[in-house]
Amino acid sequence: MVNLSLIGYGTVGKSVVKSIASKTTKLGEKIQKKLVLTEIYELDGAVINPKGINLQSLADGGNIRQHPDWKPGVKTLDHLAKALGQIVIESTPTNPNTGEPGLSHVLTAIQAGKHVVSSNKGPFYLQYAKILNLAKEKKVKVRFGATVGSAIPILAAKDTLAGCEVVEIQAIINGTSNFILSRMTTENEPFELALKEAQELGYAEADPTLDVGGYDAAGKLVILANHLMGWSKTIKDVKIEGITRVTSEGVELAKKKGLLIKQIAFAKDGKLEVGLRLVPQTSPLATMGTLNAILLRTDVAGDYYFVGRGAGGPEAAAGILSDVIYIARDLPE
Amino acid sequence: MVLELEVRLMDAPGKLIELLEPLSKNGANIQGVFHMHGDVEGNLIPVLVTFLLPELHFETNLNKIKKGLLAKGIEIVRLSAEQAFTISFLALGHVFQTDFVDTIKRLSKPGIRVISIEARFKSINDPSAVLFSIQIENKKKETELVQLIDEISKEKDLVIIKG
Repeated sequence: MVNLSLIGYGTVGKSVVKSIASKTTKLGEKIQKKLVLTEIYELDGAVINPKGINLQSLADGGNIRQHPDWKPGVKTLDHLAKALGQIVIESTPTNPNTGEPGLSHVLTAIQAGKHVVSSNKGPFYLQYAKILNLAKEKKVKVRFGATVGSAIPILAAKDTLAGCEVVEIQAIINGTSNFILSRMTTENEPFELALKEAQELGYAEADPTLDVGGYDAAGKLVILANHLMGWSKTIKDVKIEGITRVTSEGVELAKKKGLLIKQIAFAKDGKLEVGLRLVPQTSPLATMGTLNAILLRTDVAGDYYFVGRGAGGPEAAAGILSDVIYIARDLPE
Repeated sequence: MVLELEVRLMDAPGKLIELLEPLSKNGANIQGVFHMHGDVEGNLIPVLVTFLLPELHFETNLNKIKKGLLAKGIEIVRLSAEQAFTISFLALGHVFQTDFVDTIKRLSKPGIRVISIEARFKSINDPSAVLFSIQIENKKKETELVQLIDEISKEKDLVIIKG
């Protein structure tokens, strides 16, 4: 049996609970151990049950605050060290400037000797080295595959492509921007209309600055470069240009020449950039809609492309559970 | 423009100087000389010379070089320009209201040449989209072009989308 603690019960947290509830047998078979959720923390309290939380009502859409094991007023940081969870799943929303509260959750969990799985990217593009160094000192594992590309196994490529060095990254890693640019291309919509559509479909936040301004992609790029290329960068090292000034005329002119305007995140020669590029329509990076695409250029084995859905609750939950299984496999019964 | 010259020289002292003299006398900047000893035919060694010939009086100087080599009895096996290539980029913003002629002039440098432009705009007062195709004579010129583009885009507040 492996105990889990979940912090954050938003879109991603709910999907994690649903996945554990519905796939508990299959997940258990993969590692020959049962995964048991013992704590779910929210801002104003927590569901706690040392024998394992009954997830059915939550999986059916029930209110977390009406769960029989709900304990109001429990503070995550105060309780985390005594939680039964051996693996802490951090899925709170990202604060792009401070990384909080996720950063404190991650550091506190590691300090308490717990393994950590995170879908929250803020702590990792702001304090990557600090987190990884502390984890090394405390001899715990930290996995954050869901922070970039959700379930796309891009960070796992560090292990699967260990025989070569990644020398360059080119990536479409913000689904919202890619959706907007795609609509401008296929439907000839102006930027404002495509953005409104993205908001109506739930792909863009009410304040879309992080996505269309390029900051979300920049944060993910930092994580990719630090993890896959061994760099020690933060988001402040990224040259960033958003998509807000892309015009219908520009999209149309590019299209006529067989090109697409794309927001690409680059890492090469120690430099990081999120900017606009003309990409041939035949390129593997010419993905449309919310699809992510990542090119890893290696020193000896050529180019590798990873393409898939990079956002959404179920996708992030799949990425989180992949990391949980990776860690749980080696844990004692 | 960078050129490659291939000749066959007698394997004897002083022959290389004979080869290089017409080049250096006519404005060529020698960048490399390569003896292909593995391909010797009889007493003749293939030699490859890479040199830069400035655009000013390019044709005249090239003809003089050819004549000079001929006069010394050196047969030209091959004389070719390094492959030039074209870079495209899209400029978005007030491309026409920010002195378009100045932009074109500043993008025209030795070894860098604007070969076509294509534009889209609603009206001349609205932001426009202009696709530039620029021929550069070699890879080294790419860095110079990128610097030029960055400089112009900052000064004129244009969004540049590179190919």
